[in-house]
Amino acid sequence: MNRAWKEKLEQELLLFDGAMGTMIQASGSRVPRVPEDLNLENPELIGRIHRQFIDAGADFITTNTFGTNRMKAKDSAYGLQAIIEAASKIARQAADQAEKQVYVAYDIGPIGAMMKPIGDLDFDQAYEIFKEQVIGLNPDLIDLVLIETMTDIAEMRAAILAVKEHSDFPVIATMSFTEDERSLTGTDPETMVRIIEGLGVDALGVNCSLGPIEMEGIVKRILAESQTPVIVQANAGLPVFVEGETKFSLDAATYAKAVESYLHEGLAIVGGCCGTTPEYIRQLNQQRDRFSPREQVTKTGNYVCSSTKSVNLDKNFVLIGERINPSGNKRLKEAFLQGDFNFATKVAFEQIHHGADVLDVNTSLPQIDEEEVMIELVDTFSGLLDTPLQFDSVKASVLETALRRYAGIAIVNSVNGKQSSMDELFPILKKYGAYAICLCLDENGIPHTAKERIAIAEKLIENAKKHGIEEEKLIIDTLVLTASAQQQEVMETLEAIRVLKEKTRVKTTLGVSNVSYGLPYRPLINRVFFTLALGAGLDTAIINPGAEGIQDTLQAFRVLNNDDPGAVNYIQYNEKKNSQGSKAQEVKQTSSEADLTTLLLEGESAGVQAKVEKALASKDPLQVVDTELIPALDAIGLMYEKQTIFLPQLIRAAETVKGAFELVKKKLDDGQGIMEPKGSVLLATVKGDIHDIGKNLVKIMLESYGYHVLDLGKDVGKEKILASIESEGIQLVGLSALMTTTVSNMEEIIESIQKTYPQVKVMVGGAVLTEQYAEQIGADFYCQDARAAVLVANQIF
Amino acid sequence: MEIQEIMRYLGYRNNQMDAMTRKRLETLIAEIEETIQPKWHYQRFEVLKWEPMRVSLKACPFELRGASIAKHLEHSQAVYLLCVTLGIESERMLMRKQVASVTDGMILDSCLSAYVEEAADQGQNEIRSKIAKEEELTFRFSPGYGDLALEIQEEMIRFIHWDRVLGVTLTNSMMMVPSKSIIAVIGVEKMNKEEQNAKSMQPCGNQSCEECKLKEQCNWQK
Repeated sequence: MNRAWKEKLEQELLLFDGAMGTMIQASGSRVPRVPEDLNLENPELIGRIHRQFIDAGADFITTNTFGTNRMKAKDSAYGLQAIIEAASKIARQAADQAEKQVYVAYDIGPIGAMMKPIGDLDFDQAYEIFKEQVIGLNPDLIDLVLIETMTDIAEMRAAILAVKEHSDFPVIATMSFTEDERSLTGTDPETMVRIIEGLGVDALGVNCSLGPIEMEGIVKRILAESQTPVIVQANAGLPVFVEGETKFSLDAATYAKAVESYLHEGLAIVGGCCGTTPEYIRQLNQQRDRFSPREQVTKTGNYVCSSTKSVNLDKNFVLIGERINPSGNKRLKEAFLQGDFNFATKVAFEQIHHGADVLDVNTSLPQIDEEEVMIELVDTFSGLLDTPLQFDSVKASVLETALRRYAGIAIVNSVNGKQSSMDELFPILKKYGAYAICLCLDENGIPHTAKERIAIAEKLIENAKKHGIEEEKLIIDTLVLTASAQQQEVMETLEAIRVLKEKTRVKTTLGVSNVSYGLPYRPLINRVFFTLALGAGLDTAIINPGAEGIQDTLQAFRVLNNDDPGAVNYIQYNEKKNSQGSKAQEVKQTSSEADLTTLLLEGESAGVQAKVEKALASKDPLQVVDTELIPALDAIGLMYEKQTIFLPQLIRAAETVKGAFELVKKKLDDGQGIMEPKGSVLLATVKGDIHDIGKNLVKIMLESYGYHVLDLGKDVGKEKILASIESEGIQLVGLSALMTTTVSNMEEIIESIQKTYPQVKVMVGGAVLTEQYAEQIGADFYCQDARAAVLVANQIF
Repeated sequence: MEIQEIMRYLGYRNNQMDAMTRKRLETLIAEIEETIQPKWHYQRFEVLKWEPMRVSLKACPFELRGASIAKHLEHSQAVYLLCVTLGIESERMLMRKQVASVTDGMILDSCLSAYVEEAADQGQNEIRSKIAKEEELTFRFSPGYGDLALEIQEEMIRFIHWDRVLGVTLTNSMMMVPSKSIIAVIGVEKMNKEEQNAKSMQPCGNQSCEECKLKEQCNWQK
């Protein structure tokens, strides 16, 4: 392993090679099903191509291993390790034969599968797949690792971590972008830079997909953001089809010319991707003297990121939504206990709707496997939300698991001034590039005065520095205590913020609503305290963004603090607020006359609830269910069977009635009664199947009839289903499968249920199933649609 | 977007859609048209050898195996392999809508299914504009139809790099990700004189007027 090239980075232009694939194709040689098998079948060809690029001037050559992973190369005649060894040797030999110093980069390409939750590839699986490639690398043959053509930043992170944790090789990382200047999975160039720099690599940049002309905007954005040296390997223009063959639009001279402007701006490494032959590299080689070093890149700011969005912590006040926390939310707690993560997602969307910029995710609940729940939430939210996350746990292991998987730059909640806390958490923060909420307390508890709290903050800063963490990454919580008990300390909290903002570069935060515990009219106290804190220079707050007065205060503050020029946002905010108010009024007025069935079909939740509330005033809650809700649903079911209404109306009615059931439940709770569910039904989309719309329709229908649904989600294996049948005492299981390829998994699950729990009934449904097919795989019931599932349940319970 | 098609997916057949669903449908369609950019990519391969159970293609490492695809390509001298996708944003949109409302999620799912079919039509039209005057296209034949195995998708994606170009990948059980994606084999047939004449009478390039939306107003109609 020779690392001498690192010294030359940004001192002079370094040259990578061009496209291996293009050269193999041009040779006319037979390409095996796994193209990398050529390393063993035709090593002379591969060696010759390497030498051609070296002769053209390349400083680096790339091994012919782009698709050498367990998934893409599963049909290899030789196996991964044989390919890796052969490819490394061929490249090393070619490099050693050169007259000048040539470095060998081991090439890692994408796995070729999409990560969860949109695809079925798990982070740990992706990591293992990359690890398999890295552990076989021989440092005598390989000088560095090139991770390239990634379109998913989550996969890129898994690859970087695998290389860094299993080798000492320097790493160069490049992603592909489309013409809209985002990766195929939606990451913009700056966010890519921030996330990759969070892990730390030796060079980063862009390759493939576009030619150097189309890439210009992307390259400039990366050059402006990246503190790390930048590499570009563009395609030879855009692909054109000529007589059934793919060619590229730019010739070598035009390509080199197009790259020239990047060289003036300090591009450190250049090479080629698809379509670039040694001639392109030769032309680039002649441009070496055009290189001028980059001016010192100053950091553009502090950002927390999801994979698709960066939130700046310097310019605007940042609201951190605190509501995903089971200890303050009974329904969330129940949902966590049942392994249902839909409710958490709802809470997440609600907070975003109310203006949360970052979401705190707290999984602290003694009865659950916190790590497992955190993994589920990180995966789910990564696929759904643009909003960056803050991980909140007292367990360092849970925090590390979350940071490891999260395809972004997160905040950790929290570190404190105790030596043990700092020693435990700062190394993890450094490794994943995360920000930290730092509490001003230590072994002696929370000090009373601003001065003492500042001293703890300084201790935190100093310790963070020892671990290589800049102070901007610390978000100091100067801790607000309740005004009812420690009234004299409220202003100390604010004073500490003022001083820290003046003397240091840290960010600040507060859990604002603590201040009002034990006092009447809490929102007023919260609002005034929030205003004072904003005035003291508070950067972020951990708060319920939907709480009374919070957004109002913030919007007004932004105007007064000159953060909202012309009060444009403030005016918009007010217009929106006013129009929402009048809409609610409208609903109330129009819906009082219609009957329950009509209201349900139209999805008029407010109207339905008004009706049910009225009924609850005079009737027993269970009577309301039996005489009002169920008859309405039955009527709707019949209309559906007679085809006077159709599936969307049926489902809408089921969805709308849920609000009414909530009211009934609440009323029963108040009167110490309980509403027993009619029965519990387990639902799952079977292993291998990642589509769950059909299953979700069944769920909502069953729930509307008062059944309790244990929803295990999608891609569920038999082990989990069997375990849940046992632990929850399930009598009816509903399974869904969409494809012929997954029906076999369904059959296997049914077989094992019947073997272990012969009394449990199984109903099945899904696009490819028929009555006959269902019978064939041993199901007890076939459900043609969601309504049929209700009829089955009614029969069983 | 073709509302009739979406209604078919939602189970309406020829019945009227209620006003509320109609309203949601229109809102969702507007949202789709604003946020989703269909993408497609295709490559032409000459037929090297036709056999009753398999068709091999020039400069292509895999064969199209099965009686049904062979029958489909019986008169084709070339094929286009086409991949169309609504992209990962369609998948995110589906997940988000489902959380907010199952009903909306279901309506959106049907809209997107119709939308990706329409995108495939557009892709096919683009191909049609590129073939020779005396050539005509067969209909789209997708893996999973007849005995053309789903596994062939894997080889197509890898060889034509649809994962890199379009972001289309497969799960272990051969489902396409994003789910609103289509892979199809389209045959290129050489027409005889008679067929060519017929085609030249339809300058629009459509195979027949039967299915055409414009058939009532069209001046070119035979």
